[in-house]
Amino acid sequence: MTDAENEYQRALNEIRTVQSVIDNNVQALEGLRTQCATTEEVTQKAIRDTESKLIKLFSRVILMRDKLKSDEYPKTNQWLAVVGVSDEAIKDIMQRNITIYNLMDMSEDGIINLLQRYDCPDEESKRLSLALRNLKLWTERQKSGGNNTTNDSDIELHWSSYKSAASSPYSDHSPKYGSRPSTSSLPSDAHTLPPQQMPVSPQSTPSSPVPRSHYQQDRFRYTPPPTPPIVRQKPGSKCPNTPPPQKTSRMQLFPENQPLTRSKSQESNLANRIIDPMVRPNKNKPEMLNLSGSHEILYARRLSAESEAGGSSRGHSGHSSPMITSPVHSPPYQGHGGENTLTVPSLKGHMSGQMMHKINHRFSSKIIIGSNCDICHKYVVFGKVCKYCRFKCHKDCASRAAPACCLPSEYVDTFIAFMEEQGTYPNQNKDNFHYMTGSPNTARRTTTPNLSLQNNQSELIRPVMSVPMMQRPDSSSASSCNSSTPSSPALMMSSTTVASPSPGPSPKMQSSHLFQFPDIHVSTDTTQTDQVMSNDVDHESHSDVVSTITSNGSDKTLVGSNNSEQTLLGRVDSVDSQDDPLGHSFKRVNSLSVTLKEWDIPYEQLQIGDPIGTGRFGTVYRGQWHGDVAIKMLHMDPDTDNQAQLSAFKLEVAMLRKTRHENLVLFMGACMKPPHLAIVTSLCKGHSLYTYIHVRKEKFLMNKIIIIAQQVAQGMGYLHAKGIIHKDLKTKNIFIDKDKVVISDFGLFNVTKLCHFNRRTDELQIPPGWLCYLSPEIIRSLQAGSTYGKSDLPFTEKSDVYAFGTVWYELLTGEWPFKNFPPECIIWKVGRGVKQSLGNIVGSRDVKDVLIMCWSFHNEDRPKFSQILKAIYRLPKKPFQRSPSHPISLSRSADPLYTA
Amino acid sequence: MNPMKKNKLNLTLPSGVVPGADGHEGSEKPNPNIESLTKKLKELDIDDQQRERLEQFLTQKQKVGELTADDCEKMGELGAGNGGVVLKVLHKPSSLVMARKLIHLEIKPAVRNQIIRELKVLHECNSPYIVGFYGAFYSDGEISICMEYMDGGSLDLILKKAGRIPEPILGKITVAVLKGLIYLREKHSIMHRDVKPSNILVNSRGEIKICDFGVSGQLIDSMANSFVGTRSYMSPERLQGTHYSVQSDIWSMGLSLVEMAIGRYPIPPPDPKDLASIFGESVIEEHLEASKTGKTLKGTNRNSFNFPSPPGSDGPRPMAIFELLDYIVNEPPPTLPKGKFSTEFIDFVDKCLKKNPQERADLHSLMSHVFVKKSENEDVDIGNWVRKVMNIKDDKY
Repeated sequence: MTDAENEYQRALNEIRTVQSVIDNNVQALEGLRTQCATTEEVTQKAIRDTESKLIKLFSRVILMRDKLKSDEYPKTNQWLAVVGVSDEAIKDIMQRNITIYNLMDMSEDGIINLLQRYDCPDEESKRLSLALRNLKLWTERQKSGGNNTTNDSDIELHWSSYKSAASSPYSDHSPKYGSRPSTSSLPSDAHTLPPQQMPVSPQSTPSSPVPRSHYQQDRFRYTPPPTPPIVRQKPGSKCPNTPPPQKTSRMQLFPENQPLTRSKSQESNLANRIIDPMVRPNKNKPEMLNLSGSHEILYARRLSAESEAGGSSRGHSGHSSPMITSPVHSPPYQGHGGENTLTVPSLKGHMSGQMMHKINHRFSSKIIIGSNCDICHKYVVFGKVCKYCRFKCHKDCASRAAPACCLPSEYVDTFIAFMEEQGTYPNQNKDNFHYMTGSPNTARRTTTPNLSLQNNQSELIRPVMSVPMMQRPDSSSASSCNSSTPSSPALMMSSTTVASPSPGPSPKMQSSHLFQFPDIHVSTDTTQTDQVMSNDVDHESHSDVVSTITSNGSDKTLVGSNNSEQTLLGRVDSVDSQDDPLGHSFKRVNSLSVTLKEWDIPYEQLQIGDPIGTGRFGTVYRGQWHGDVAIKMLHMDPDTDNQAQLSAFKLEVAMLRKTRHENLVLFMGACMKPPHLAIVTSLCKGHSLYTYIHVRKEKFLMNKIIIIAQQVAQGMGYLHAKGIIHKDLKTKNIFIDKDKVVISDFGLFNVTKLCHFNRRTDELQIPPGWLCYLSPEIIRSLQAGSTYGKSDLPFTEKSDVYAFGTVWYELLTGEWPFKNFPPECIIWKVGRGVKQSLGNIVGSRDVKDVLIMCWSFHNEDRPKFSQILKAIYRLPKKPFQRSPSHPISLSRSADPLYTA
Repeated sequence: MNPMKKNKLNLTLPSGVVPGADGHEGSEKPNPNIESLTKKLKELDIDDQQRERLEQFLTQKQKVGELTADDCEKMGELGAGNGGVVLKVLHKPSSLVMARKLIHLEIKPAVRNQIIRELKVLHECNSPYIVGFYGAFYSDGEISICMEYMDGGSLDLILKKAGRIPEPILGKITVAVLKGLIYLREKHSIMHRDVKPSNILVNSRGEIKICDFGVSGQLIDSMANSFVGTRSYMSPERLQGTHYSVQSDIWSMGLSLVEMAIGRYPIPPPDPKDLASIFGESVIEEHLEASKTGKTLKGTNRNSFNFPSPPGSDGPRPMAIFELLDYIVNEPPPTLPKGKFSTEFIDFVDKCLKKNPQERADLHSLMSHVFVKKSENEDVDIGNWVRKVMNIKDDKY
């Protein structure tokens, strides 16, 4: 590849990354606008913040356009949509091939004229004009190299017309910090600093100062490669004013052991500062390179320093540093509105943040399907998922995830208890946990002087901040939280006091955390920027969780982010809870009928097409109901009591409506008027696993098998978590839609008792292959005869696990177990505990172990799906290597992105 | 619930034209095929009447030619069996009445063709003890197998009507089944795999024939649904999934004989007291009488049985299927109550029902068993008995 090609490729990747960031922000903004009370000051701030961010992002893309020689990015329609232009207008504008570039070239009048064609209200065109103007402004500024940090901070980039920042208490201070950067920018660093400052300042837009800083803090919270102060010193007098606060805070607030954290956060900030140059736009490239080099050195030094220092490295390093002597003392520290102390409060905030995030992720390896890495935003297949916070990423990226698992509040106590029990976790951290997850209200008690400090701090950090994702809706609340931290003494105190009782363990633990991170960092050879990026992302997903939990129902916070499964679930539940009497107590038939109305599909609305197949319970038709659907029509037994049938049917439906999972077929509704009983689901595209295995006789590679099995297990695990037993898991009910596995027909088995099909008193009808999915306890309960036994079979979660074992066997061998044996023979063998020989399985012992576990004769010996997932994940996956998650390779070129 | 359902060839419907009995034979020139078949028939150890009937059947079959669905006119339903229904049809071009078994299969043409091909072996199966085969074809997702129509129906149907089957009749049945199995084994090297009362058919001419043997492996594999009933005739070794052979058929035959003799499926074994109350003192005479008159044997009223009742009735909870199968594998084999049957018969079934297939008697040693020898020579009018039991009007003989 030529350099030019490389360059182009890099630019392309870069631009895509930015685009994904934009997408995220747009989504977040959308959420803020639609789902949060925009009258709330916090929300407004968040919106403004996001808007500013978007402006910068778009501008970044625009700047990169030259490299790409393509107008594909930025997406004009996205721009218009986010600014709030009506859909029709967007459509037409797109049709007329008007790009964002054209729009930028247009005069304000031109834009107004343009929009007037679509009857857009003036407000809309004004907004667009304003947004475009800001965009131009910012772009120009970027082009010209934007040396003037001070002025940048004055720019308001947002376009929404909420009452501006003046309403926020923070705004008062904006001038202050606006001026601050100049003082803080250290002359000694002259060559490095200017670039860094440039990006910084713009972000300190008066309108959105707080969220900004918050964001930074959050990020740093995660980032903190615990650099000992020494490092800081190395660059020289870079930040003369910062160190002392660091020292102070450490000494005073956490006389015992805590200082570590604090200094860490502090340092992380510093580190980020150092990095900033790299982050700068391309124009400064030469500088960047130099810097990055030096930065790496710095980094390495820092690491070594840390490792030397061991657990108490912070303390020691602090001592060695000249700053130790800094006169600042803890009590006054709050009052440190002064520039020198600026960092302290923020540190404090960071510290507390960090403290609470000192929980390492509990990564477990998994196959993650259908989601992106929370760090690099690339598609993940084999990755790691944190047990607690559901943070997920590539294995490679995991090293760059901050050791900051953000637990939902309900887990915090459990976690602490657990840690205490193990003696590994110091008591004093409890407070920090709570602090972290604590109510935003405390946090909001920010005092103004601190704010200003904060802002200053934020400016310093700014360059790193530029990563847009921070713009999560929750940022507002979180930000207030953070900013408040420094100012509120009470919290501090409490944490300190609590901390003192058990000083011993804490340093140890902390040190381990501290070290771990940098090590990994180095090994992955990521640049600092990457780390920052990753931290951002990390933070993002975490903050989602946090925000959901912390915001006490006020919920301006949570909107469109679903990176964390937990959040999602939580939301689903809450939504569900409106009609959930059912979910918890099925017996309440009254409420049930009310709820079910929502799911009732009038039979007349269904367009029934060709039959797809005949199942045990009836016939499945292709059909139309707001798109393609599958309609499972039940054959009603005219002999049985209609009312009983109906209520049984409704119970099933009530179950089904609770299911929302990627690997489960979408339940859309049901026809509940006899004699037309039907279940409407989305139409499973693609073939069933049965077709692949038994009809097409396809052989799957091990990695594919693992992916499929993993998804099946995920879907099943979800069902079980919802209290639903599938009862009929088999390859015929598993569909492969592209690379996604969709499980269907869950919970329908009981419906079969409503159906009269070929009911014969003295014989049991056994569909092909059915028997080999039945666990021994079910096999033993099979009855032929007048009691039509199937409906009374003892299905359990564990019988589903057995069935999963059979699916696993089919995937491995392409055959059913006990192939060619007559049913009686299978019944006897399975009932007696005789298993299919595993001789024909080509695979490791572990592969067979999964089978042996699932096929355990006693159901209590069978694993849960969560355990199966783990076991499958541990299996050797043959040559399935994804390219290393891309920030690693792209880091360089991607850097400038985040300065924008 | 229709008790007939289980019966594949339920002959309660008015019997139409009985193949081979309609007096139209010989109207066509004998063709080479017939000649070669006739030659083959000579090799068989059969009497003149049997040979004559076979030739008659084959001659009629010549008229049939290629079977199509359109040529078959439904006359009635004979029953539903394993994986399909059996219809009584009139083959219009030849005016022959046939039993048409329909098996619903969702399969690819290649598989379907293979099945049809495999079924062609049935054309070669010409024996007085094997149900005659007209042909097989595919239409509308279903494989059709057209067979000789047996107006007496299957033995499980007869058993329901009769309650119990007299020993002399069972003797004749034993002989026919054994000869049929030997024929399949020696001439075609196949085993039956599914010997049970419902696969043994009788007609009013007194013929006893076996059907539904596993001639097409592909068909067995393709059968959409299997049915497991309250009764299993599968040998212990087969249930355990080990190697099995024609010896397995012998177990199945033995078990069927016991069932027909005592009037109920013998697993789990009936309480001896119940048995005693069923069977009177002079059973042998009673059996002789019944075999001639078709009169119902004593104690065959279902209600007098204090154990799981035959299919279709409301009895106590039947055993779970696994329980039943495990009983077969692990418990002593069933046997006939002493004193109620001839010692030869009792010994015969005991030899058939050895759990170890090696200890079980083989086909040829059974052929020379006293019970068989005795039964071969016995003069029993099966046709008469069938007509009596099944209420078939004796208008042809």
